[in-house]
Amino acid sequence: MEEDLHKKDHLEEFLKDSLESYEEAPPESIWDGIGSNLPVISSGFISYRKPFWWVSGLAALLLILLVYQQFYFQTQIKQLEEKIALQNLDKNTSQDLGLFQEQTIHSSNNSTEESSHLTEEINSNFSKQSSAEQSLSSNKTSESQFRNNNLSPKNNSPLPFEQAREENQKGFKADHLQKMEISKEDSPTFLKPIDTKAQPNPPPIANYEELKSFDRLTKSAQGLTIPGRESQFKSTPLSSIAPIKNKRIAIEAFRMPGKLNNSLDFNLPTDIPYQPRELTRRRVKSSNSTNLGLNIEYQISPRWSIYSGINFQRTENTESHQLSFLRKERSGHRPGRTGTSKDYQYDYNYPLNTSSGLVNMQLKMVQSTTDIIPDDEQAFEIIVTTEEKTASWSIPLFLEYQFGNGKFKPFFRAGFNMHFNINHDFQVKEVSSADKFLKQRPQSASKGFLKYQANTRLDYLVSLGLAYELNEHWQIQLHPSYLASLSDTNKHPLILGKTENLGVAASLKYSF
Amino acid sequence: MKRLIDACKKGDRQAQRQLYDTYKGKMFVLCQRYANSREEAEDILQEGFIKVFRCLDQYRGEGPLGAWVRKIILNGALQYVRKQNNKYVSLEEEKIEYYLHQKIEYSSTNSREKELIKILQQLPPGFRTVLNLYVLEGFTHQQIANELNISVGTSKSQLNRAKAYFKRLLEKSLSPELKK
Repeated sequence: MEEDLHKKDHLEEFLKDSLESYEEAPPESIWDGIGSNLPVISSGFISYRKPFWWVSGLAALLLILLVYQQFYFQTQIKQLEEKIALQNLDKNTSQDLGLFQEQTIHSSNNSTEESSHLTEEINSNFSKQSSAEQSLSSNKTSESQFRNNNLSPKNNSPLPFEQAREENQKGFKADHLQKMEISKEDSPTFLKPIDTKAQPNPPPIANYEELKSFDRLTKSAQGLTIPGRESQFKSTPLSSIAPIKNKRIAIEAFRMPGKLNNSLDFNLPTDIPYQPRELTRRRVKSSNSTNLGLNIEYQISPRWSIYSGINFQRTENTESHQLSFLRKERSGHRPGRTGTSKDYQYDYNYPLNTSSGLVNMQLKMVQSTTDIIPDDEQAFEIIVTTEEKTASWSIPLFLEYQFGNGKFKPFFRAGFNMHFNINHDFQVKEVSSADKFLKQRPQSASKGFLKYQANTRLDYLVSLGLAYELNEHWQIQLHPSYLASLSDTNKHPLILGKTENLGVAASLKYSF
Repeated sequence: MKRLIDACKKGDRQAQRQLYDTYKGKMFVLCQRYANSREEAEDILQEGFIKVFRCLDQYRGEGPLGAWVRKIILNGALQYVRKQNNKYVSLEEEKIEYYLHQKIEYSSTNSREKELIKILQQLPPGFRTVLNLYVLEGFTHQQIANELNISVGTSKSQLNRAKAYFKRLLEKSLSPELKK
């Protein structure tokens, strides 16, 4: 009947003849759309996808900022040190020169323009001394004035740091007490005259390194030395100016149990005939990971620190995978099925996404054809329980910011962690199904998980926690952390694996 | 051809372009036959070829590549139809009168093939799908029933109605030249 209809129907022939060989070119924009959506072929262990570039860019920016901040801070300290050292030098040399010239002028009675100028300086120097004496008698008032004006008591130059100001104020008191003693007790004859024209001033300071050398200071001021007064050249110790302790080595051990969420993005052709479509739900029954690491923490500022090192991680996961197959067969095509016409035996190559990567598991099962309509869709669920133990080395690169100054210090930590898998022990513990159509319960025949297992993985971590300082060395930290993979957990070209871990890490840190 | 496929698998854009150029014409016509409009057909074609390139590893060379590509594009087109209207078969009968009274505009400059595609696009989606699958893809009623989740009887009746409807549209709107 159907064949008759075919023969009689001219419309069908007309349509076939007209459209079967007809071609029409689509617009060029279609290819542009296809090209932009095609996956980028990965050449290495990292799949270069958009999020990776985002995070890499952000990390690079952060690193540049840190380097700049450190450079800027160090420069500031250097400048401050130079400034303070120069101030001390100026102060000492001018005071000694002033005292010496006073004696020279009085003894020789040479009145030149230069000497009159020097006399002015001496007068001002003495007036400073007298005012200093007054200030010493009422030093609190004077000091508070300087403090209020934010000026150095020596040369009225502004100093940015309180510490430097205090140093100078201490020096100021000591210097003037000594000067008072000199003016009262020391006679001009005790001073060694020098040729001021031949050696008018100490040679100019070439650089900061020279300043560091105390010998250099002594040499430069030899002609101005008052016998028994070498202490006049005491400068502020450089070590007391540098407020930052740069390096801290810390051993950190932490344990991080957490909830894992692994996701696979299948690009498998689900609508190509005979490819089983599947919906997978995965539940983590238990997950324990222990990290032990030796990290060197480098403190780049009082708040910021960067640390890296080497960590060993051991993870044990027990997971339950609920696989839901939606098998769709079409007439004339039944690959993957063997056996009699009554029973169908299936060998499914199933990519199982586990905590540490992709496991290619082969499932065997036999399905009864009773009650099955041919060419109908059949869905059946299988539960697979797996257990795996992994061991890996990892190299972290984290940035940490600590708030507060008390014993409790909240902190923020973010960075990257590169994993190198060294051991992976995987077991399928149980395979079961309650599907009534399955004559023989599914069994796992084999597992070729190493084929697609990625041996390296790049993760990023964001953590916000609280640190408690037990004493000078020991610190306990508790930090909820989010860890996710940037690179694929497997090397399959069509399946993209991702790992996410949200957990609370507890760590113990010993700082040297 | 094997070299071309290998190059496509490696992600060679030129090779992918060459493969696309080989099949784009026929596949675009196929998409237009199932779509409501040319724009929809473009979407189906684009999605279909993305899938072709992503799944090229699955092609083992057991059959002609053209048939494999065609199957993927066709599956994409059917998926699109399903998404557009889940009840595209049962409710359409009520709309037949509405569709019949719609004025269809044809351009005299169009070729016969283009005019036929226009008419196909004017058919209700269910009629169009059954007619396409049976007449142009060579599916049996059983296969159509499985594909569209309908009974064999429904497939047969839909095909007869679709043919009748298509003829009426031809008589009503086509130019005398096309009727010949």
